[in-house]
Amino acid sequence: MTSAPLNFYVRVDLALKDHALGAAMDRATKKLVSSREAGMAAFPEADAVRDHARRIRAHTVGQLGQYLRQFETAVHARGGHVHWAETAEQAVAIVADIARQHDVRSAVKSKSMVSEEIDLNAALARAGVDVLETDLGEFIVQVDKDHPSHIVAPIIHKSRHDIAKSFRGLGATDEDVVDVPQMTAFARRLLRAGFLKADMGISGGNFGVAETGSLCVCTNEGNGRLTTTLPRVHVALMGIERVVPTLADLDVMLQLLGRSATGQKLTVYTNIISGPRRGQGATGAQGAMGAQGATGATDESDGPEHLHIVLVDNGRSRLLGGELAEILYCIRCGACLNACPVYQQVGGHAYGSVYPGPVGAVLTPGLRGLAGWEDLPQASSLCGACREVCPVRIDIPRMLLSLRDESTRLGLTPAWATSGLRLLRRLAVRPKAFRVAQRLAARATRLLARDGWIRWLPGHLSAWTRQRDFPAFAPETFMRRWERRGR
Amino acid sequence: MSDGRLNVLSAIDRQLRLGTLPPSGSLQHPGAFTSRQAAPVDLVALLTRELEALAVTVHREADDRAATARVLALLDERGASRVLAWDPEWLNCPGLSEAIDAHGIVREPCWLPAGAAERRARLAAIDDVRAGLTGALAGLADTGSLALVSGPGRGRTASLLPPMHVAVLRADQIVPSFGACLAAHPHIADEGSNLVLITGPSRTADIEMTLTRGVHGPGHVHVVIIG
Repeated sequence: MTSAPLNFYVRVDLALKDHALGAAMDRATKKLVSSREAGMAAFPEADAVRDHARRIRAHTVGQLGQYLRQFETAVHARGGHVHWAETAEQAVAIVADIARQHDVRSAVKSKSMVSEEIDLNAALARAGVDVLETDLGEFIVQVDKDHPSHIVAPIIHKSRHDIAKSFRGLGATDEDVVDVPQMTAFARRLLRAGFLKADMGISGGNFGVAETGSLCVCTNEGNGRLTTTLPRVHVALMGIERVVPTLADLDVMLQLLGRSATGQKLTVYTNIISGPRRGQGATGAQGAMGAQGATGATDESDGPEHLHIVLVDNGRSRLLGGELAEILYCIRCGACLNACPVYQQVGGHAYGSVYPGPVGAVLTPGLRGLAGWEDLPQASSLCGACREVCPVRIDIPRMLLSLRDESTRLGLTPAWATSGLRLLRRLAVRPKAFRVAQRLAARATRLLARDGWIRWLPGHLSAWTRQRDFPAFAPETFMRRWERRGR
Repeated sequence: MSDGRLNVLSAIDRQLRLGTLPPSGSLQHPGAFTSRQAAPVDLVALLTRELEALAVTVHREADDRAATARVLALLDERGASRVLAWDPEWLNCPGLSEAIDAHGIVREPCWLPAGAAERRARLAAIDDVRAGLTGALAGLADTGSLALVSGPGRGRTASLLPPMHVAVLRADQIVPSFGACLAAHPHIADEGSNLVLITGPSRTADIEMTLTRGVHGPGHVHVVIIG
């Protein structure tokens, strides 16, 4: 996971001053919010399915050890391998080992947030493996040496002109970048060449099914299918929490994932993989089989010869049984990002973490500890929009408050904020003192204000007025007005 | 990496044992979801409507002969001299494979060799095939999806590599939903290592939220429904 090079508030300032970013975020989040709303409106049993999905997630996370053991046994029974990684370092070492074991030179990758979390590409490059990102957005992120800014739509912060410029650097002609379909066709040609020669395909895992040992990988572009079909070796990275008990439970999750992410009833390619290719070809012993020769009647036609599933903990198990356990219900649809008024303004990069938005403001400090990330839980107005749209009704505001509480207890909250709140508490329980303070504040703010608005506040309060004006207090307090009305 | 396994599992078990939120083991599985929606009456009409909303072209044909003629016309329109095809017994249309042969179009099997060099050579040889032809296990009416299971003579590449995918389906294979498909095929994960639900043509909206079709998978999908 990238650790933020800049202070959170500095990054927010930069984002708010970037007008092109503001326009791009506005366009993208509005579109995603309205697509989700339309998808949910056309789904008559949405509320009942969401309640049901939440109960499945709660049950599974509460029995996680049992379901992971069942998943492992079922994957083994189908000829797949399961690896367990406690940390990011272990996870990348496991993948590098698999690459070595199968003599892999080049790999293609479909979108995987866990692979970003463990910084897989850099580690594989050190191991001598070329990794090509094949999701169109992630490919552009890779070309630009950038970071994704959304967990579902990674380049919503870029304009087509930015992308055209990057493509020209790869040899695109004027014709290739004349419009979005041409640009997409250009990327398809480049990426197809990578697919045809890759030895290994790396994917994420939207869900693992304990009963059947199946892995579910959803993509709209089809890169997820190519990645898990063409290369000899398929490696899937999956967070330990992504397991569901049965295929019927998977069906419930799938009814919500596409609708919540983009308003689609189902993602275009919902790919359910139960072990590597079946039959004698799968042993790899018959390496020199001809195009049509030696096709035993029981051999599957195509698919990877080897399947490795890497289960990644990297801080997740610590969350179980605690205040933040609920964040492990998340199915990574991105709806809370799109709905969040803070995310809409600042975009994904300001959070400095692979997981931005409301879910990231809980998950990042949860996985990595609060120190260094204590500002993220503050980046919320607690309006509850995230909880409103969450397909499994995760109570994100509750966990943001609990993280704020913890950062105060750990002494991570700035002294001026804690002492300010302490002062407020002292005043709030003393009605007379409170009224005096109100009158003083009203007078002071009116002195600073022009036309009813304060454009500059001193000291630590200046952080507020840097981006927005603060209203002057009303000349008459509510209590005074109430008394007058009663008379 | 057996240490990793032991450590992760014991950390999970310890946390769940000590934890209080939510109490371990107290949350029962909710069981199967029971829909209160009335079952759709006309499955063919519903599937057709959903497919068309996704920009899939639907061809309803009365019998195998008409379906065969339709598939040949689609291949000709595309200028396909070769077609990446499933084996005859899986195409849901007796006589179709023979008719393609007689029409002079080469049927390429989806077979991929296991060895690295042979595999690469085979992929290079089928990369520019212009059409893929498959049957399907089922049509899922409520989402407009095709359910395809891999197996001998039923490769994944036929519905994936070429820019056009033609799927042949019999009307009685259409079910209301994925849930109904799972109920009808309780051992579906044993039937093949890959089950894919295809819901429309390959698409992306990564660049400025502009919908574009055919980014990696087929940009054109045709469903021929017989009966």
